[in-house]
Amino acid sequence: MNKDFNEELEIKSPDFISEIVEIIQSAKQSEIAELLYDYHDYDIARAIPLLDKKQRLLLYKALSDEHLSDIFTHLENPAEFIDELSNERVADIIEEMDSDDAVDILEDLDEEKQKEVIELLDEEVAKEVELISAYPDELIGSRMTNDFVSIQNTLTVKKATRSIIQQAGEKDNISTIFVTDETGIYLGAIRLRDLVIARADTPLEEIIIKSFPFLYASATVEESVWDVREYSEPTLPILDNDNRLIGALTSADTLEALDEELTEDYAKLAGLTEEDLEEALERKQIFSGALKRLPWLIVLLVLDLFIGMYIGIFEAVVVGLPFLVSFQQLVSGMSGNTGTQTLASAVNLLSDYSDDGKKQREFLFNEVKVGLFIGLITGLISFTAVTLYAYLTSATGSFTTDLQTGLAVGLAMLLSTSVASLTGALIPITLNKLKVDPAVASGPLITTLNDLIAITVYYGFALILLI
Amino acid sequence: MEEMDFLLPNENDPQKIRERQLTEIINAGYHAEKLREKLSDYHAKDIADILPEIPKEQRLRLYTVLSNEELSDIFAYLDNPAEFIDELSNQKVADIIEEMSSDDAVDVLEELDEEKQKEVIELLAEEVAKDVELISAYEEDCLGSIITNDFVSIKNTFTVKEAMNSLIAQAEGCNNITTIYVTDEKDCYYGAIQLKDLFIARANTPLEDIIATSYPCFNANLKIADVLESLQDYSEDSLPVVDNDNRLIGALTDAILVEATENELKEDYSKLAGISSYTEEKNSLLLSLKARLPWLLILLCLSLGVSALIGIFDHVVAMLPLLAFFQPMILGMSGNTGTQALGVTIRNLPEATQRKRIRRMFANEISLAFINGIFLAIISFALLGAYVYFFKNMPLDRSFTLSACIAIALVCSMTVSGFCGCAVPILFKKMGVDPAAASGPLITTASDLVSALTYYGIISLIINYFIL
Repeated sequence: MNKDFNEELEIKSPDFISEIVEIIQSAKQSEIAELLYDYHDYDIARAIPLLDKKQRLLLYKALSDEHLSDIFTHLENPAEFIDELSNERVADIIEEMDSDDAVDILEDLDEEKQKEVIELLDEEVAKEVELISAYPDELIGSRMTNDFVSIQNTLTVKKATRSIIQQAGEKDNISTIFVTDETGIYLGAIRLRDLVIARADTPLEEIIIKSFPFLYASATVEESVWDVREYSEPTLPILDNDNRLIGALTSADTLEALDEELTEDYAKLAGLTEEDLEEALERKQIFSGALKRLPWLIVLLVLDLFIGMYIGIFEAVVVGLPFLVSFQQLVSGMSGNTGTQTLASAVNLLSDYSDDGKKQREFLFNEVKVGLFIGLITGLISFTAVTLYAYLTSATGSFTTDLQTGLAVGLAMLLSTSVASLTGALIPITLNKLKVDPAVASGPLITTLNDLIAITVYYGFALILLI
Repeated sequence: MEEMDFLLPNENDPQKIRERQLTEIINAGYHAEKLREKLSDYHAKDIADILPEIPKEQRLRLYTVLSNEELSDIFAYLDNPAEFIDELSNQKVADIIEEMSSDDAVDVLEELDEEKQKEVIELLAEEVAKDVELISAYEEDCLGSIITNDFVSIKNTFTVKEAMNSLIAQAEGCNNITTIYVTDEKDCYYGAIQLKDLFIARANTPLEDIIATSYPCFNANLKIADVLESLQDYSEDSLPVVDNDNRLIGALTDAILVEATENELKEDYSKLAGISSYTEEKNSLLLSLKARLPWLLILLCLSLGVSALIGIFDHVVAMLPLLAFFQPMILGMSGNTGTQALGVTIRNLPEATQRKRIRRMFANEISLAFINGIFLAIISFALLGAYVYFFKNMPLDRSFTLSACIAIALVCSMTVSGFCGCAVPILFKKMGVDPAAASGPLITTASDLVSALTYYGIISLIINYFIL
C-alpha cells in the first residue's frame, strides 16, 4: 500500500511542475503572474531548470521582483540563473529578500559579480547584508534574518495590531512579535494570537512575555542549537552584546543547524568529514577526493603499524601457539563493536544532556554495567566455542590446552569488552566537559584504541595461561 | 565579505538566570494572582525545566494557581511528565491534556503506564479522545503519527470578513495561525491562505482570489523518512496532511519537522554504530541490552567464522609469525575504508534514485578506496620493509619482498572492503531491507573476512619463496 502513496507523491509534485512549465510555455506574459499565484515558490523553483533560456527570460519579465525573490531563495543553484539577469535586476530582486537569504545568494556569486551587485543595493539592504556577513559561520549572528516584526512597548493594543498588519506586508514571520524600547533594547515578545484576541483596552504590558528566551549573536551555533530546538519556537530574537534586537532565528535556520551538527556526527563516526559525505553524488574529481581522506588514513595506518610492532613483543605466544592468532580479531573486533555502540549512545545522550552531570554519571554507570554484562555473555560464548573448536580440530595437543585457550579468549573478551564500554563512554563525556565536541572521539579512533587494549589483554592472558 | 572579532557577552547564561529567577518567584510565597502574573512573563519550557527542582508542596500549589491551559503548555515541555502526573488526580490530568494540541497530548499519554493511560483517556472529552485516537492509529514511521490538530481552517464559501472572524474565534485555542487551510463542503482539502494576505485583503475581495489552490499537501500514510527532505525544502511553517479521501486531518508545524529531522538523523547515526534503534535510552540495563545484544551476538557468530577461516592459514603463520603482527593493520585499515564507503552510500542512497547516479557513486567510492590503498601500500611497503630489515634481521631483498606482499594485500583488502561497504547497503535495498541495517560493525566484520582471506591468501601463494 505504501508503494502507491510514494508513487502518489512522485506523481503529485511533478504534476505541479509540469503544469507550471506548461503555463509558462503557453500563456501570455501578462497572465503568467496570476496563473502562477496558486503554486508554491519551491515548485516554481524546481520548474525553472526545466525551461529553456527563452522561457526563463519571459518568466523574469512576467513576474515581480518580490515574487522572483521568493522563488530564487528556493533555487538549488541560483548562480547560473542570476547570470541571465542584469546586475540592476539582480540587485532589485535581492532587495526584496530577507537578509539571510540575500546573504546566501550573494555568497553563491563569484567575487566580482558579488561586488558589482552589492554596489547597486540600496543602503539599508547593504547594511543588513554587511551585518550578517560580518559574523563567522560558527556564530549565531551568521544565521540571522531581518524577517521578523517588532513594536515598541509604548504602543496600545490597537496601534500594535495595526503596526503588525502593516509590517505583515513585507514580513513572513509574524507569529511572534518582538518588543523593544525606544532605543531598540529587547524587552520581550508577544504571541500573535494573544494580540489578536486581546481586548482593545488591555494594556500591552499584560500580554508581553518579558522573559521570552533570546540568543546572543556572538554565541556559537553548536552550543545553542540544542536549547533552541527544545524551545520549539518558530522564531527567536537575536541580540547584540548591548541587548539590542538585531535579528531573528527561524525554524528553518534551526533545522539547518541541527542537520549540520548531526551530519557532522555521522560523518565522524564513519571516519569522514561532512563535506566528503555530502559530495558523494556530485564528485567529479576523484583524485582530490582521495587526497582529502588520505591524511586521516595515514595517521591510522601509522598507529596500526605501531600496534604491529607492539605485538612483536608477544612473539613468543605467536610462535608457541599460532592457533591463537586466529582468535585475536575476534576479541578486538567484538570489543571494537561494543565500544562503537557505547560511543554512539554517549554522543546521542550528550546532545540532549550536555550540562546534566547527574544524567551523564547515571549513563556512565549504566554503560559499565552493560559492558560487563555483554563481556560476560560474549566471553562465555567464546570460551565454549573456542574450546570446542580447538578440541574438534585437534589444534593443540591436549584437552587441557584447549580449555586454557578457550579461557584465554573468554577472559580477554570479558575484559576488553568492559574496558571498551568504559572508554567509549568516558572519553566523549570528558571531551564534552572540556567543551570539545564529543563526536571527535570518532569511530576509527576508538576502534584503534580498543584494538590496542584488546591485543594487550588477549596476548597477555595467553602468555600467562599457556606459556 | 570581511569578518570581525567579537567579545563574548557577560558570563551568566541567560537561561540559567531565568531559571534562578523562576525558582525565587515560586518559593517567594506570593498570593495566587500575583504569582500567576509574574509567571506569565516566562516561557513554559523554562518553567518546565525548574519544575523538578522545586519542593513538592510548591508544585502542588502551582497546579492550583495556574490555569489548565498554562499547565498544558508546561507539561508539553517536560522530559518526564509521568512523575508529575502522579501528583495530580486523573480528572485534572484529563483536563490539562484536553488543552494540549493532539500531538503533544499523544506524547504525554505515551509516557504513562498502560493502566493510568486508559483511565485518563476515559475521562477525556469526546472530541479530544477522537483526535488522540486518530494519531495513534497511524504507524510510528508514517506522517499521520506526528501530525497536530493545532491549525486553523475555514470553508471556501466564506467571505473575507467571515474568514477573519472565524480566524479570531479559532485563534483562542490555536498557536499556528499564519497559514490558514481551506476546505470545501465535504471537508476535503482545498488550498491555503497566508495570514498576511488575509490581513491586507479588502472586504469585497472574493476569497478565491487569495487562496493558493496548489499549496502542497501530504498523505498521512507516507513514510516520514521518504518525504522528510521534501517537507524541509518547502520551508513552510505549516503543511497540511490529508487522509486517503483527501480530507484535511492535521498539520505538520515547523517544530514537528525539526523533531522529525532530529529523530531521523539520530536513528541513522545509531544504526551506523550497530544499535537497533534510537530511543532515548532511559539508562536501564535491560533496555540497553535489548537494543545492542542481538546485533552483537550475530556479529560474534560471524567473527567466529572469520576465526575458523584464519585458522586454515595456521601453517602460514607458523612459518612467518611476523604476519600475525600486521594482521590488525590489514583488517583495521580495510575496515576503516569499508566504513567510509558505507557511510557515504547509506547517506546518499535515498537521493540517488537513478541507476546512473548509484553506479557513479559506487565507482567513485571503489576508486577512492583503490587510490588511497595505493598510497598507503607504498608507505607501508617502505616502513614495513625497513622494520623487518632492521629489527628482524632478514636480508634486504627478502625484507622488502615480504613488505611488498603485505602492501599488495593491503591495497587489495582496502579495495574489496570499499566495494563491500557500497555493495551491501545497495543489495539490502534491492532485497527490500532497510539499507541502514548494514551497520558499521557488520561491514567491518565482513571486511575482516575478505581482508583476512586476501591477506593470508596472497601470502600463502608466495610463502614458498621464503622457505626455499
